[in-house]
Amino acid sequence: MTTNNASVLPRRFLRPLLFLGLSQSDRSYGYELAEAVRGFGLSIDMAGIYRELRSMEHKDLLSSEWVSSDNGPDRRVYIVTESGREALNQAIADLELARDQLSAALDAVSVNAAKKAR
Amino acid sequence: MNAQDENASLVAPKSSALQMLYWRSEILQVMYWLRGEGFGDIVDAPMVERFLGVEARNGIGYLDRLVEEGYLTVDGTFYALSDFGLKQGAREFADSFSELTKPAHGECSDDCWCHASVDEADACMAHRVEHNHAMDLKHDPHGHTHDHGHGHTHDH
Repeated sequence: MTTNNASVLPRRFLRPLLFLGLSQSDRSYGYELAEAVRGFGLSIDMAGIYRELRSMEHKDLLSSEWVSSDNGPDRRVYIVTESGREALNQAIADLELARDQLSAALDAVSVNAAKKAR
Repeated sequence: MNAQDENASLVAPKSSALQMLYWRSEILQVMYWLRGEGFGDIVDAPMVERFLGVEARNGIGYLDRLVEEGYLTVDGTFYALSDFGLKQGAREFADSFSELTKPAHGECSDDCWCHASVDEADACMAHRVEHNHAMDLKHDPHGHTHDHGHGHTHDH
């Protein structure tokens, strides 16, 4: 079986991973966030990123503003709101829980495999 | 559309007047966004569907309307920002339309449009009747607690 490391995570991790991307900087651009999410192991297209960011903005988890650039078009920059920070902390807690549960499951599998091998 | 996509979908108003304003703002914003992120400023109806969740057959209508209004130019099935559209600038749309197109808050859930305009209130009422919410209205003729059929319930 081959494993594609860039698409190992299911799409339901998109929002928590976007929060992780957003936590790396005070202000983030869409492309940077897409790259961050891909770097965390989720393969997602720009349309998915855009829709999730708009959804988060409508839920007041993010705010955005257009910023001018001297050498290019205006860009939309995203900022985590106060309620977004609470959601970000929850997202981190959820990811930690998922990690611990998966880790426990994998440990159990390893123990069983070791027992069978004896 | 899976659950994740559904959660990420934008909730458009139901009255035609606000719908046009809403989709005009959303389409132009996504075109400015793509341009700002370095992906060019050309879209077609399937792209609008992927980015905004509006069905392509409806998206074409909104795109054609933006051509009529001078914001876009069309070449075959592809649409680009016109000089006029570019001059308007992303900031104008972010500032001018964001409050108009944003769901009303207060007692409503954050995706409710009921308080946005008289048109929208009428459209919501028609929507409720259409979706057999006659019992709700019978118990509460002023519509003080109801479900709009798009997954949330709130008080007016």
